[in-house]
Amino acid sequence: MTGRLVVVGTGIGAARLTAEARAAIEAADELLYLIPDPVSVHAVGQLNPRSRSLEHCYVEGEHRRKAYARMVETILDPVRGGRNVCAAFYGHPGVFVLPSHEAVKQARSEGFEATMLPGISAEDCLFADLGVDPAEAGCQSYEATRFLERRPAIEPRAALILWQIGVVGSANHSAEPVAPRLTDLVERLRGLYPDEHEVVVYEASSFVGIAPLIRPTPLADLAAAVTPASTLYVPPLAKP
Amino acid sequence: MSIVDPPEPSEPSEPSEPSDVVGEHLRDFFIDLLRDGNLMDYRSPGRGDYITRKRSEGLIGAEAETLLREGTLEQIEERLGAVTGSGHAVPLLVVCPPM
Repeated sequence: MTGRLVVVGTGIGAARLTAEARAAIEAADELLYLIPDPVSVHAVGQLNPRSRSLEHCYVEGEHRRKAYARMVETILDPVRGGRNVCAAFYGHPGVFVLPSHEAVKQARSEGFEATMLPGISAEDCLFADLGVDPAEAGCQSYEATRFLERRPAIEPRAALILWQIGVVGSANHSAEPVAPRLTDLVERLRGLYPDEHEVVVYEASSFVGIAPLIRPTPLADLAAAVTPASTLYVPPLAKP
Repeated sequence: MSIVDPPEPSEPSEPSEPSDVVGEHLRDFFIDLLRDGNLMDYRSPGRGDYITRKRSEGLIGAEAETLLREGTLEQIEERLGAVTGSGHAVPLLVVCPPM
């Protein structure tokens, strides 16, 4: 029997699982998942009792890349054993997720069939919750630490989304997230936008009917508004 | 005719300290929401009635009811975190490396 891999996204919250992802979860011989909220964990466990979490791959204080390598191996082991494996990641499995892409690449390089199905990402939720359309002014999207390290050219008249601001500058896994370069991030942004420019600290809600966290704040006061799981939305500067 | 000051608006009840029981109620409420037709009822204009009904069925207690009506995402996550023991209902499982 030939093993195969399907990587799916479970969306942000249990109610946002697509029909396609649900079917893949149900059909799998084995389900491996990385999902933070307990309601979604329960939901996927109901869909497929042959499931186990990938959370054990994280080791406190260790570089996250090591955890991702462990996840890839944990996903591929049963594929190599001829199983039909589904790997489920919260959000969209192809958006700001390394081990999902690596698992698909590795499986294909070993001759196995591997596919990825989309899910609803935090960015999708952001556009809906903040009522902004990236078509209006364009939209730039960066991982916060990479934004600092690589210093990409930014167009201030287009929107800017920075991911993982709550762990900016931190490469290691920690149960209590830290953002050692948050001050640097604010300074970099202050070089691009006026201090009074209103930015939005945003966190999608995983729970139906519960409002997302939307915290508008002047750029100069950003550091005090950041939460561990938040994303930053910087609206475009108005045209002169 | 006497002039009587209108009554002071009642303060919304403050949720008490984090509790795993409240977290379990919230978790069970959201799980139950995924069952046949419940999501449609909850999303309808009668959302408050739905919460009341679930309270009367014993699925949730008073504090969970208050949180579902008035609570913030952070408050909900805090209570759910008390169940998992993680301190966070949504532990930060970062899946993108910084570089």
